[in-house]
Amino acid sequence: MNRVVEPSSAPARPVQPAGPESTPLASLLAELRVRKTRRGTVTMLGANVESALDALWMNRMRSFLTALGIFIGVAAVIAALTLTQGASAQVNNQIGSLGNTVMVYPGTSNSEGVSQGTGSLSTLTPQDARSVTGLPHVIGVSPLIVSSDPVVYGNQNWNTQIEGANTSLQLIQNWQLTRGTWFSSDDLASGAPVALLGDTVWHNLFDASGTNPVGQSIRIRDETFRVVGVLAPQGGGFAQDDVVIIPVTTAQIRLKNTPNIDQILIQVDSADNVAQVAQSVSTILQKNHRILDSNADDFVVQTFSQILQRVGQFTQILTLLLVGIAAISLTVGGIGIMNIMLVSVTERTWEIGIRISIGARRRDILNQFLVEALALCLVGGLVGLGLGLLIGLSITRISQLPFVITPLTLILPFAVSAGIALVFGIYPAVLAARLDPIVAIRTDE
Amino acid sequence: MTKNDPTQFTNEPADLEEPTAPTLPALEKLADEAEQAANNGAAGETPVPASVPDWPTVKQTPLARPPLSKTVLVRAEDKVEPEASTPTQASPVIVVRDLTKTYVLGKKTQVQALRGVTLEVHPGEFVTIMGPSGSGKSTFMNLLGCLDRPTSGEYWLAGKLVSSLSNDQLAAMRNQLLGFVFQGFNLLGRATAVKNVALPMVYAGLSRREREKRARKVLHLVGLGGRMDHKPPELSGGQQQRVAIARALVNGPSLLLADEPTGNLDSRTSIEIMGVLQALNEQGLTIVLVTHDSNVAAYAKRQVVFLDGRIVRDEPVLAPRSAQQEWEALVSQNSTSVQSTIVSEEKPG
Repeated sequence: MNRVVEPSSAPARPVQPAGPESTPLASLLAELRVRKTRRGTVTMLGANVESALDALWMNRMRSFLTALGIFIGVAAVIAALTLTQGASAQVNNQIGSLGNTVMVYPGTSNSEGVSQGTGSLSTLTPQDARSVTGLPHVIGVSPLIVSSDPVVYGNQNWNTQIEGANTSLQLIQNWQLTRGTWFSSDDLASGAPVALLGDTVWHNLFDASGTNPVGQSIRIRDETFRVVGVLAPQGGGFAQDDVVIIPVTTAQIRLKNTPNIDQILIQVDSADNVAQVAQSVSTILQKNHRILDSNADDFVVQTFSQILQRVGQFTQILTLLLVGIAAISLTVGGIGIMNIMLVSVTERTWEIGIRISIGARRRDILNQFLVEALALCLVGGLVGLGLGLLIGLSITRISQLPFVITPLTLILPFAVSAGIALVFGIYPAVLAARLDPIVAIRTDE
Repeated sequence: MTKNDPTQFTNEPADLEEPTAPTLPALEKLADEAEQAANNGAAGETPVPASVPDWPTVKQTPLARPPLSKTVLVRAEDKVEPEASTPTQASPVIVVRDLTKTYVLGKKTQVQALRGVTLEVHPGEFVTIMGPSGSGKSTFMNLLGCLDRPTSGEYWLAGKLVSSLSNDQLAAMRNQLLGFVFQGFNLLGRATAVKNVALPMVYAGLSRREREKRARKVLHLVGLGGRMDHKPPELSGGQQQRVAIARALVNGPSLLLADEPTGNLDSRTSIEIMGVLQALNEQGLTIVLVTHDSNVAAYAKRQVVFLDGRIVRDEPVLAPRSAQQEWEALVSQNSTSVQSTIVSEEKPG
């Protein structure tokens, strides 16, 4: 080393630099000099993320409480989403299982839509049902008479829905039998007093005595019916199993004393042909009822796809409502983020000053605080997603709904929390970036 | 050892175990030696190489920096010669012409902080800017530091006309041409010394590996090789200021701006830090130091005195104080053991 300590007069060092090139420091500085500049966007981002996480970790209690607002909001959104999506899936499953069915109701004056009370107009006849049987793509047609009556067996009494139908209903509604058989076409022709019991009705009438219901006599409106079969349960929460099915002719003669019927159910071979069949049915019934083009139909033809649409609309409204409520809580969480970021900017004016003095541009400061808000929100969103799914899972389990996760469920929390970070983080970040460098640098720690 | 040292402050225990005198010579370790140490990850003392000068081994083409010229002092009242101030082959680091700064405080209140300042600083100079509060020296410092823009006049820094740059361009100047050393050290308390030193390189867009490597090299240079991974609260004031100096140097600045760098330090540590600055200056670094303390100003080669927004005095310091000598005197006064350590370290083999 060419360094000699010599207590001589000033200058202290006997070895004077001849020029900058010759001193090692100058060489080092030249080496350190940065020529390539501002190319490292990824580097900057990485450094921003690092310092953001650093800063959040320094104030971890505060960060946790702030993220809690986002976290609860996101969890609420996710729980609401899984719930409505589960309910909607359940409805779709059940209605979808009924297959490609076209329904005809009597009209209700001029008002369009679902028939309100089948008694308001009685325009459908068994003849109408027969006339649509031969249509192409139709694989089953059943007239339907519906009434609500108490059914009595021994001292057991149960109020249920009585449906008069024909043998095709088994196909149309996809019924399985646990005991006995469906009533025969002879029973149908003669209007025999025979009945099929739904699962719910069977349990309510026969569980007490424990007898085999097949061959037993039950009473409906003082008429005695012989039980010929028991229907397998179809499940679901729509009370489909709370039913007694009798021949439609029997229902006409013995229960309602009417030549008319309440509904016609038409089974179509595939979903693609449902619309076409509905159209043909409409045409035939118009001819049957002698309705001119200018007059309104006295019947309504409906398909399950229309009903599905309605259900879809309903669940959509429900989803919107729940998400709206969750959005309010997210907004509150976002305001929390903004508040904390503002405090953070004030607290760290000193740090901003340092960064400015060593060459941070305004947008670097802006990015740093945005990234910090983003990190806060995304962590909240991530944890919220986990909790929301957990809540959704447990609620759907309890209410026996299917647990559905859609891409929306997974993407939404990130989109929402990133959105909140940008909306509520931009103001504090802009504030930080606009700090006067001189003021910031002179600010004490 | 220095337990009875009257200048020793109780809040500086770190300096007891680690005498700071040997770190002054550390500045003379050559670039590649520092690099070698950084590469080895050496935390302690690097063996001092033989007397062969190390610098020729540094594979570095001649500098972009112009060669040192004889310091030209321009009195404030003198007219600046156009050819002298035009950045030519003997280009000054700083050329300031008729710089004014007026703060508008209200509709009728205006404060003229600078009223036409003309100054030239050449490479290798060590200039102190002195003056009482309100003399405009802080305003001038802000302008030199590219933190503010003048109301009128020109400011050339390393051949670039700073007074007309945009905010982003000013930031780039601060990043690449300037190094700041403040009274309060201004280090990030939660980051290690290495991270603090590496921070300017983040804004220069260097990779993390490169940042780390360079930061370690410069920390070795300022004699903090052993405490690189400590956080500022774990360092003494002198050590913190060294970290700040390392941070100021890490992008290879043309000018080091020091604002009361010893303001928060006791006299002993002040000598230490002034020693570091003097050693850096002797190796060609241009330094502008703002202080109100004439004792501190006495370490510089040139003094510029501000009063009421004007330069009232600009003259060379005929016999600058030598921090190195004062430090050695201080050490020999208080302890012989420290001195022997220094001697053994300075004369190896």
